[in-house]
Amino acid sequence: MTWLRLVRAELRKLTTTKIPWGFLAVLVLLSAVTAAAVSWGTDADGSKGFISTAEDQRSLTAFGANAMIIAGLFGAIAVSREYGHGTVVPTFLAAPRRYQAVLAQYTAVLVGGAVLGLVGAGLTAAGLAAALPTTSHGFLMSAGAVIQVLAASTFMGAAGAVLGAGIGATVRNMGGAVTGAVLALLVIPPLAVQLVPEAISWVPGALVHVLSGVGGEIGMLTAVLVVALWGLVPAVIGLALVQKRDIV
Amino acid sequence: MYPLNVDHLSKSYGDDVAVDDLSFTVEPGRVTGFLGPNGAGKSTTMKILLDLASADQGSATIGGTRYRELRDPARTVGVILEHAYHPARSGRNHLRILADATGIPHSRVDEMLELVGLAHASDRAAGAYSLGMRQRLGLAGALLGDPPVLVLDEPGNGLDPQGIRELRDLLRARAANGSTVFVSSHLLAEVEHLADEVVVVHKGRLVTSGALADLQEAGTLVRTPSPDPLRHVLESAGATVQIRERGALLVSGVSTSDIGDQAWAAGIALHELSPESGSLEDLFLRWTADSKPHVLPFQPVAPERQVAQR
Repeated sequence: MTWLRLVRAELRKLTTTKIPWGFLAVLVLLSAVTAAAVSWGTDADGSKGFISTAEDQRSLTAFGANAMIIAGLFGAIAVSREYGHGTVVPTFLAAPRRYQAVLAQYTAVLVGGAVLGLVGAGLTAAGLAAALPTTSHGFLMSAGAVIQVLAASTFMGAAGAVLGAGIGATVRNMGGAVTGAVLALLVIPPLAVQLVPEAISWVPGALVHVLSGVGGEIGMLTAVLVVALWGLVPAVIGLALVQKRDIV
Repeated sequence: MYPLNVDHLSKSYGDDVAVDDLSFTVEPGRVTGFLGPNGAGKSTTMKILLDLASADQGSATIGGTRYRELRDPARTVGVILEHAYHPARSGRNHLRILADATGIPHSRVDEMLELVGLAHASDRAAGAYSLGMRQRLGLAGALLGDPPVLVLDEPGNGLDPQGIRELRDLLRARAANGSTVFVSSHLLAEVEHLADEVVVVHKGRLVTSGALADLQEAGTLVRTPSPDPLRHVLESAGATVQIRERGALLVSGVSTSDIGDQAWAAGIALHELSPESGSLEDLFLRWTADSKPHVLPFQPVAPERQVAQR
């Protein structure tokens, strides 16, 4: 029961500041960019090839990688600000066995990241659907494809948020945590692929294709596990560090 | 009843010794002031007591139990440690979050907002509160679970005179009901009016502890051109004598008239003979003036004596 109470408190923390609205605004903006690209954008040859087939449209709306990055920043900010503002102190006083409090933080942030991922993919699909009438193409994605894209984005958003939360718990400084999340999700993956080309299948940009049904070289279950690991590894590190550290 | 017991506690951060073999007891039913200059180790001691920091050596317990072992810690100990709030979150939501985390009904949030006089501003962002209002919000959070123990770090900081008075009345009322009230403060005049007991630390070490009234009656200040002979005479008569500044002795254990008689009999001239008691501020500055812990002429009050005083 203690843990459920802590989760409720953490969810209230997330919903009683403006941070969710800020991220929602980013998602709306990205959706508008998608709609604008569909309306006015073309391929290099001047055609609308990038929206001409169901697979092209699925690829365009596969929001998972973006969801992971945005939710990663969300998780990093949500957890690191707890240390910056000192609000982690009453949390640890309520749950002096800190793993309960940290797991509650992770759970709340996971829910928030999942919602961001779902809303982000939904808005992107909506942006596509809204802009397609301005072109000669119709909405070609099946309901199953839309659901798969939404599910993939939701899952990657959840994983990204947990990754960011783990970095936030580890670094405990908002600037450092945001930098860490950017490094982990935007800088390190391409560097890793340059160093080890085989790593291409394990970075978020490739994993989103597998999970969204666009393509990829690894199986669905493997992709699910790898995305989960992207979130779990920093989360476990953060959890372990929080147990031992003094709150100063 | 939940006495607080700090037993040979030590804590260092690198080469900096924050707490050094510190031992004292805070009894229920009393308001105990925790005094010391900045960096004396007060906050570190409180954090160790609350399991927010780990001790290198020793222990700190609440009712004989570590904080993390308490069955319902947040309802047992009310805490003000530092300003812990999100500036964009309203005072009401801040308290609701605390209530959610501890399973306290939200109706209690409104009661506490009324109690601390913040009901009118409860929906404003805490970042827009004055320092005094933030202290009131912290106090509301500490009292949310109606705990039998209060551990408050500088609760009077920023309060206006009316707020100070209300805080004092509230803490004294809770102590009178058997609560353990442990308050650190730099507001010595306020502590003088508030505290029954004090624990004084300096550079991480205990300087003194005991009933404030006893500490303020430290003994008799004697000035003489012959301090060493007089010291021998008085110690032979059973007095405890501390050499103070040049030519001055602080004498306890014998009456002022006995000191005069002993000096007269020994043919020692006296230049001053006066009861040594003073404001807490005077005592505090004296206790914390040197780098080394003081050897004071008075003894810490034994627990059984504290009980008798209640």
